[in-house]
Amino acid sequence: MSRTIIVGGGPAGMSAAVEIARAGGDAIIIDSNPRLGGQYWRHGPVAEFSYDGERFVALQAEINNHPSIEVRASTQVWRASYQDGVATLWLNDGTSLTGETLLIATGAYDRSLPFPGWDLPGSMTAGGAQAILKASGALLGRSVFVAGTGPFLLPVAASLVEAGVKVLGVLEANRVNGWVNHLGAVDVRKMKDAVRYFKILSAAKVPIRMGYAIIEARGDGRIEEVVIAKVDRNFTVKPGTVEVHKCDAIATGWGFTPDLTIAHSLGVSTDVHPIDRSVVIHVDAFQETSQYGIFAAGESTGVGGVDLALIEGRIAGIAIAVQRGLISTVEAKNRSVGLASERSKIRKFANALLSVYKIREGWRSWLNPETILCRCEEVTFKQVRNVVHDLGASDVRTAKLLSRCGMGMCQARVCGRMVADVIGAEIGAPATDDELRGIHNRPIAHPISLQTLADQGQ
Amino acid sequence: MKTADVVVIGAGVVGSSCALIMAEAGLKVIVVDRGPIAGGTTGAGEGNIMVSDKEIVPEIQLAVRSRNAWFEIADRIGNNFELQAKGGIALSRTDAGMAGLRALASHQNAHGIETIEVDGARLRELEPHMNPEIETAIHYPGDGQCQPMLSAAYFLRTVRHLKGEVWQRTEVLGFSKDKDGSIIGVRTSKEEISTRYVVNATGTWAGDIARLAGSELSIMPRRGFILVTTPAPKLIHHKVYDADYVANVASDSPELQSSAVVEGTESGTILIGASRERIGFDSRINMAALERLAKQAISVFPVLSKLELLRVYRGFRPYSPDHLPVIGEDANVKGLFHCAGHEGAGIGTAPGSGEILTAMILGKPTFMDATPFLPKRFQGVA
Amino acid sequence: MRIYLNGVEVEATENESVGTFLLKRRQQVLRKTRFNDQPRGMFCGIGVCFDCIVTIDGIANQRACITQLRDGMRIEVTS
Repeated sequence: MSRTIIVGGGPAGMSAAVEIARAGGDAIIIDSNPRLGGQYWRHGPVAEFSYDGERFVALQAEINNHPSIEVRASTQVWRASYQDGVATLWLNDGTSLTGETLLIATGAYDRSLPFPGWDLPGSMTAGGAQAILKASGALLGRSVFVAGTGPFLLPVAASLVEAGVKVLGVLEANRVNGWVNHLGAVDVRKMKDAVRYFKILSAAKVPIRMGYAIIEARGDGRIEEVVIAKVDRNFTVKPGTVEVHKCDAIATGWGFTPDLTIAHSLGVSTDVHPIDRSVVIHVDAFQETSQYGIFAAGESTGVGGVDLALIEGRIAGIAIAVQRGLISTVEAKNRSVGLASERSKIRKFANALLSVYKIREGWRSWLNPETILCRCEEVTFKQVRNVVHDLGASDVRTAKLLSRCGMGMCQARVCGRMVADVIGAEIGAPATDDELRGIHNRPIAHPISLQTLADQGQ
Repeated sequence: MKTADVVVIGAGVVGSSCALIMAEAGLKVIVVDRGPIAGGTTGAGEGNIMVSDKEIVPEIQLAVRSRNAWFEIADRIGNNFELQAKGGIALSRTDAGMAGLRALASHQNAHGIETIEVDGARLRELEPHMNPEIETAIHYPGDGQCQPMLSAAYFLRTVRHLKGEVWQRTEVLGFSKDKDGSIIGVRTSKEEISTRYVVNATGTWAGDIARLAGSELSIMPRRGFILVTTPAPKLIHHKVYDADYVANVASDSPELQSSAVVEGTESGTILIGASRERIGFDSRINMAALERLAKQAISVFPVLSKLELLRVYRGFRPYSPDHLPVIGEDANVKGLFHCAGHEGAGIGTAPGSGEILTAMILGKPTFMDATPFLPKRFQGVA
Repeated sequence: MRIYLNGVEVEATENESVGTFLLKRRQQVLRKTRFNDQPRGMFCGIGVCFDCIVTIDGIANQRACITQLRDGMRIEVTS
């Protein structure tokens, strides 16, 4: 019971584990990936990185050297609960874990926007394209477009170029000027990274087009061409700017969605982010949530990147050590020097980025009536409009239950937020904070074998 | 001030059935719900239209008529709600259990429910994936299924087309009465409606509405939960009901005495419902019950061991002290008609209930003797 | 290791996911959708979207992107 359970073995979970172990505590890291590192440091059987690998190697070495840290990889949490001060996780191998201290470090995944053809094979998220490349060198295609919004598009395009993919263009829907200067003001490492990406892309003559978006993908059974267009500041297509290009794959990304499934099951309070209205875990200065003993760090408390995740993980790890009585508060202060101010500096910058790379509502004009919104249940824009205007659905939940939008296997992880925005626009009232929170309500976090379930009852 | 012939409170399947049948009978109907369409029990049900589980004669009569009424409605307004006459199968693997099922079947048969005892070979035709050790069962061709939320939504759509109105997110604040105490209006958070008739179709909240009108009604919630699997090609064709409890002598916890009802849906998922769970308003998932349901379902259909649990949903079924629905005029308040407490059978028996109430309001004869359903059985007559 | 892809024995060398293994074999389409029979492949690549689901060792709906190859594994894809 004294062991801290860490859900997620990315930067936040790893750095927290190390702090706990340094203080003499025990921790177990659960991760669905076969290896530590999360999405940022995803890698194959050999830990090779084209850049920023040193920090991972150091963290992993320390974790390996601490017998008090157990790592359980390739393991999924299918259900979580918090009752009377004890958290319980049920794992897909049929076992369960309980603990009085738990860290949520579940990270985030790509936010997607639909457009005609986004469900064709060859269409991947930007993060997905990078994940398969990092994990095993797999390429999503030979000639691709990278599109969407956000600084993440650049490293994705750069790593594809380095892997030999012909990147036909990077399309940034927002008009962003001089953001590299902002970067430099905050962090030299980020500045260097950005310069490196631009160098790779310009050497490969990859056009970076601001204010452009992919508005349609076409092909017979897989992507063969894309329609791109210039969009205005609201993301509405500018007439007369449409171009058609041959390609065999696309990678699109529109920022990230914090993964709150486990957090929701544990009953922690959440905030709706004032800038992008994403749902994030509410934490105090020590990264503790509204539930005693439940901490959170990294993207699940608000998207902020690897540096913020590492710092939040450290702060959480140190706070956990204090709560478990492993170190004094004086010792904790010594170990935390500079962390809090660094956290607020990066957080401020992350919020500035969120404002610059906001999703503007004109994206809905790219939809046609037959565009699939819910990939799992194959629900179209027309069907969602129909349950609102013909059947009288007047809120997100009813529209979802009547149309089956978001009722499929991904449990609205992909379409939930976007559909809430579509329904809100159709009804004429934006989704409420509680409706946005409700998207993350998944009492069964991942499908679990009925046989495994039945065997548990022996 | 608005005027209506009838105000129906509650936009679930029961309320929308009443509203549909009344609107079709030419009445001007306004449906009022404090939440959205089908936001309560209707949104957490399997869509059972079952005759096989009815034991008491009036319940059988109501279920048989309602079952037929469902298909008549689909003929009139179009089957947009996945209504299908899939049939049910009740089984037991003990001699005593089968004897019980046979006795029930012959009783049901005497009251108009079609029942067929089937042997192993026939069972394999009906359900190719059923455990080969199960060698006999009762087949109920009359059992059906619908998608309950779509049903309510399409019924209400028809009501709107018949000049009725549906007011969502509208709270009922009180009732206006004349000097004799008869209802003459409903005060809502939106506006007051002048009407002589009110239908209380608010399920687990029916007692609150009765109290608001100055009467009383005891309707309690019973928890039900349903496991939903990941989608699969059509594996299970009927509603399959295992009458055997998973005996657990070590536990006297009522939710562990579960019986599984297993069935496929149009969307490809398979539903595994617990038939008995009498527990309070606790909405947490009971792991032990979940495990036993999975185990029992696999024992009937071994192929389910290859599937995964995707979702669990929970709802509260409204029930009355004698487990029969409450249909009819309040004993204390003239003009207030209740239609609630259908327990797990509200979707199946909604149209028949609506027909009874419509006949009562129009002063016409009901299709069956509705005395056993009248609210006065629990209410002191004023 | 030996993998059975739609019943045909194939050799796999790398320790990787079913999804990337298939993609490297130019198997971009992993399944057809159940309502409209439309082709789908990997989308999110990290176990979130359930678009890359295939049947593995007789168990349907397994995410190719997060399932690691194992010797003797039987994978069924529809394309």
